[in-house]
Amino acid sequence: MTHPTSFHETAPSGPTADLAARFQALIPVLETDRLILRAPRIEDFDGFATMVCGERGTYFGHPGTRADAWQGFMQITGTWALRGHGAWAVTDRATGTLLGFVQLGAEPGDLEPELGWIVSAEAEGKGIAHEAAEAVRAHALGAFALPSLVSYIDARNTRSCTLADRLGARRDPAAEAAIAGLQDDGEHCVVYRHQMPEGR
Amino acid sequence: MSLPASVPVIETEDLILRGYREQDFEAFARFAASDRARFVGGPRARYDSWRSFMAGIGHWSLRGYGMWMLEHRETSEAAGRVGVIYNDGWHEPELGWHIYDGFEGRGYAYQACRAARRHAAEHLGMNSIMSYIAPANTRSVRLAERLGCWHERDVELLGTPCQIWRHPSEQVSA
Repeated sequence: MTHPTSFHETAPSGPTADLAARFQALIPVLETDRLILRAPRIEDFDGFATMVCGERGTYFGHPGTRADAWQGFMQITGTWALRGHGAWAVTDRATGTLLGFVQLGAEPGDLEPELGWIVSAEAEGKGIAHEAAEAVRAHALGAFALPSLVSYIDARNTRSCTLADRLGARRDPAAEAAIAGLQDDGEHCVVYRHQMPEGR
Repeated sequence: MSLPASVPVIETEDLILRGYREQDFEAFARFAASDRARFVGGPRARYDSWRSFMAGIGHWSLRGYGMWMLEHRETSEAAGRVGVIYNDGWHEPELGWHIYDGFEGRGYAYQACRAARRHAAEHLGMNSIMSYIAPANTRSVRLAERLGCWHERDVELLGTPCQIWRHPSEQVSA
């Protein structure tokens, strides 16, 4: 995707950079074998917009325009301040390349905290989403001690359903019944419930 | 995590400019759903307002600045928002203002804009900032004039005709 200006997508400088860095430092960094998950930064926006504006974003709020993607990007970042959980940028540990996003979301219409993921076309098929989502889930149910965690997935999104399965999450008919009346016409969302770790 | 504590707090005669709290959402959503929001992307459904509320907070984390919530000193109610917004695709950062129902006509927008403009010049390295104004928004034009702004040029903002009003420079001590 090309875009006429790039200044607004470059990192802030001067005093604003300082405050942005302090906000971002509040968000924990998670590490896995191949990945580093960190706070979203302004430089990640172009990658985010590319992921969500195309076909890949059909099941990630399907923003129609780049301006909608911008609202979504700010939203998943802002979730941290209100909920104490939010989105991580998933990056390649060796190169720093942006590979995707995993979020502990509180979207309108959700009834409990949600684990969601999206990866770039280049990162697909390599187990990146699995590795990142597993790390976030461990943090959500461990350090963050969230009372419950589900993944809301469009029934047609078979790839994500498969991943939820691989993560050991199971369909929850009661939770699906609870959100049935909240969905837009034509929407069919399934709910996968993530298992609590031993002892919780 | 306590992000609101990190947003700088600015006090004026009648207002406290501060970060967002969840209890501000009702006032935010009421404004967004009303006709008063027609020049700032509204009216918006409550769901969309929640996204927009969180987006307003995310702006601080991504940019290091954003819009403040205006707390009315006397009643502790949320009276509106004023601050610096820089959305994707915009020409430059702008000083924006939204005053909620029941708080207009008392000079609060003027008061908050003066404070935010001074803060931007002194702490954000943004002097002589601009404001986008929809041509039909005569109330905002009047406020811009009162703030000493001039109509600099006409632009398209993401496909919509819009005016850029330029603010005068603030005196910044070295």
